[in-house]
Amino acid sequence: MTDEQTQPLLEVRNLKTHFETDEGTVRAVDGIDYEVRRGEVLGIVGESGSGKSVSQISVLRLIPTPPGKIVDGEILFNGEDLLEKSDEEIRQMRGNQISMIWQDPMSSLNPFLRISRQLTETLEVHTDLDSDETRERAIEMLEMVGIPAARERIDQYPHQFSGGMRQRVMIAMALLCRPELLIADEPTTALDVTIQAQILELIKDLRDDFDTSVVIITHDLGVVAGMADRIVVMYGGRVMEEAPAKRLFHQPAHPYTVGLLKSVPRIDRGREKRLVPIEGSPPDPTDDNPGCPFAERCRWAVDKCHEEFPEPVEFEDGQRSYCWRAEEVYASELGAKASPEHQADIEERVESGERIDTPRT
Amino acid sequence: MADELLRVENLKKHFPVYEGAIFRKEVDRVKAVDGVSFEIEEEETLGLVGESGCGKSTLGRSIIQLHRPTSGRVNFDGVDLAALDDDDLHPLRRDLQMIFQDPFASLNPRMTVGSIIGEPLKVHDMASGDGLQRRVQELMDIVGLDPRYIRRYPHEFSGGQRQRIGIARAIACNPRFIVCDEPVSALDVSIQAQILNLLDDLQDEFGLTYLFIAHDLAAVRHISDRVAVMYLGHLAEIADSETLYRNPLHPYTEALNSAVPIPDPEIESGRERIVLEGNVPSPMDPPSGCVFHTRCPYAWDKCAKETPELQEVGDDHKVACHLIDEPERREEVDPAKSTGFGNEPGEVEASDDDAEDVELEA
Ligand SMILES: Nc1ncnc2c1ncn2[C@@H]1O[C@H](COP(=O)(O)OP(=O)(O)OP(=O)(O)O)[C@@H](O)[C@H]1O
Ligand SMILES: Nc1ncnc2c1ncn2[C@@H]1O[C@H](COP(=O)(O)OP(=O)(O)OP(=O)(O)O)[C@@H](O)[C@H]1O
Ligand code: SF4
Ligand SMILES: [Mg+2]
Ligand SMILES: [Mg+2]
Repeated sequence: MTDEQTQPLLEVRNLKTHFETDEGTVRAVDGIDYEVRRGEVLGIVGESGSGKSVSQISVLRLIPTPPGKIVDGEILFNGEDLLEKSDEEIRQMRGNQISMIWQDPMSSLNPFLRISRQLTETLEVHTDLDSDETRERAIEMLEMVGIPAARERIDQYPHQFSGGMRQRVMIAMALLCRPELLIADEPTTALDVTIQAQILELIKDLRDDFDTSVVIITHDLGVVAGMADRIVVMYGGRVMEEAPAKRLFHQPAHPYTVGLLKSVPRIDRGREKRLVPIEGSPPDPTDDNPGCPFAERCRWAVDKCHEEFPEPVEFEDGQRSYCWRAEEVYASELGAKASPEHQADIEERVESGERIDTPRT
Repeated sequence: MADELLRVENLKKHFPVYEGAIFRKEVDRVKAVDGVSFEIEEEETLGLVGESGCGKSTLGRSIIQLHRPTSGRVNFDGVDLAALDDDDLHPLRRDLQMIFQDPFASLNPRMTVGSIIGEPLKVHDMASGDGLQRRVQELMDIVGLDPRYIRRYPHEFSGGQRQRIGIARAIACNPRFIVCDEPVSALDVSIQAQILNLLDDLQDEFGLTYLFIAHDLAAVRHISDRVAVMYLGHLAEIADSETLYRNPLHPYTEALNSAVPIPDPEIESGRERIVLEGNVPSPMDPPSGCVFHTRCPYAWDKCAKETPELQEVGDDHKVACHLIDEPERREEVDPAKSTGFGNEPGEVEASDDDAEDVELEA
């Protein structure tokens, strides 16, 4: 399969979603491009406030207006712009072609309704199955996501389920209508690691069974390493880098990606190595910054970085970095793989302000 | 080998659960910490991991006597803290400090940074007037805050900076022992490393001893010399950080290690994951025998009947598991494929569902 043959399921182009607040205009998402291909898992990583959730809520057209507004861009789903659709058309698509699993399952399940009611409601809206059929379909779905004794438990209330089981119910609900796109916003953040492992395995299996495309949002690089085919890294409302998972972890081409990879402790590494933190703190989202949002914390930054947002630099396999010095960063990281001395040398030269020649690979 | 600073012996902390508005009657007990023993050496970091609700914070608080233990001993430098009354404890409190998880909730929003950091110095009569101000500014400098911000309020700082305020306050009285309770879990990924490095540096500089609590095993392993794994009020295993990862002997440690994702797609795709069935049972009604037996892939009838003791299995490596006495059983089960102790996963889950109901009513 080549890119030309397959139209992506979702294409987001120059999306801008802003919020008017007392502190000023929050540029939550400020001009991002990415695509989700059919049957793939796309991971979106980045720190708190970088715009991960807003970018996906925009796709569902669920941005609270006011204060929020999608001020620019296109969201093409199967080639059609969702921003051009009527509210009724979008409502028909939500839960049907596009579903979302939210971060906190308790807040999105209705505590006063039996699980059965919450599941069949979705089916009644989107299908013409009768009530026995919807109930059977709901039970089937609960069994599929691993709720034991689903037939007996379907009439219980959400509080009678544990956190992990509620998250399974959410997933069952999201998959009831066999959506083409499943958006999972931090689906495991509130859960313990052993329960997280259960849920991630489940999402992977379901993707294989239904061939659903999945967008998984997380701040945990480990989670995307195990789940995602491709990864989008966000910072300050912008995409910093987009790449196939393997390339992102082994040949990053953006200083923020490199910084993230070096700053997270890894269970297989233990104590020996000191972490290399990214100094400073994330930007104020109300700043109307014409440059690269990472520039203030970036060791590679040059004057231009503060003035103008970088043009994307393309590498192999669709890897794309939004950085004025992407090629040098890429080369330096490759150099680091070759020998640590080379890396130290490059870093020293960079810090002293020298421009490094860019060996292309 | 350094000297032992702290020895916890058979520590228990049970919380009574009452019923009735007027005639309060104790109807149950949450056995949050149920017989835990370990030592910490001077200038060492002991990591403490385990799932939500297993009793990590309660254990930390009981050690520094923010909770008075139900029973057991906490020998700190030869003195049993649990046996002291409040007056005798007071002068020792400055040696025992805590850093909290939530840098937003744990700082008083109406106090300036200067008074937050200076408060323990005042309480323990260690500084006043100009001396106090100088010391506070020195502390701010040590933790990487600009001393000119001494009159600002917590909301004017970012999450990472607030955690630095909490750390400055904790080290103000030159303590010897600090319980760090999830000090980085509320922080941004790019900020966590800053705080972990700061804790490391402070330890070297001031000879601090830490109990480092977190559910993130990767962070714990990074900062700790030794790691203790807790499950439902009990210690499952304790070993040096390398052994705990390379050679775990408790099935729960094994599962925990395998569940933590590694940020490397090539390693991830080749990893065999042990997915535990079911959920953590309620500490109000813990399983009989080994508390882990309802989720353990190896469990057999003995596990439901007898509680395994924490026993020494090697150099500074202790495990509470019957497999230690019957190692051949390990070969008979593939933990990555098993679904657990003799019952369908359904039965296990159904029983915690009841537990969860009780918790809500309590
Ligand atoms: N309803 C709203 N009103 C005002 N600002 C908002 C609103 N929703 C989001 N924002 C702002 O938009 C920015 C991006 O938020 P978003 O929730 O997308 O971040 P995120 O990357 O998902 O972070 P997290 O990892 O914390 O979930 C933040 O600065 C946030 O404060
Ligand atoms: N003050 C209290 N009164 C009653 N029960 C309590 C109290 N504090 C804790 N518990 C209970 O004791 C058990 C252990 O709680 P603890 O906070 O120590 O767990 P933890 O391991 O720190 O969990 P987490 O990772 O979620 O912080 C829980 O069941 C909790 O509900
Ligand atoms: S564009 Fe400049 S500031 Fe931004 S990441 Fe690249 S080098 Fe750093
Ligand atoms: Mg979010
Ligand atoms: Mg806790």
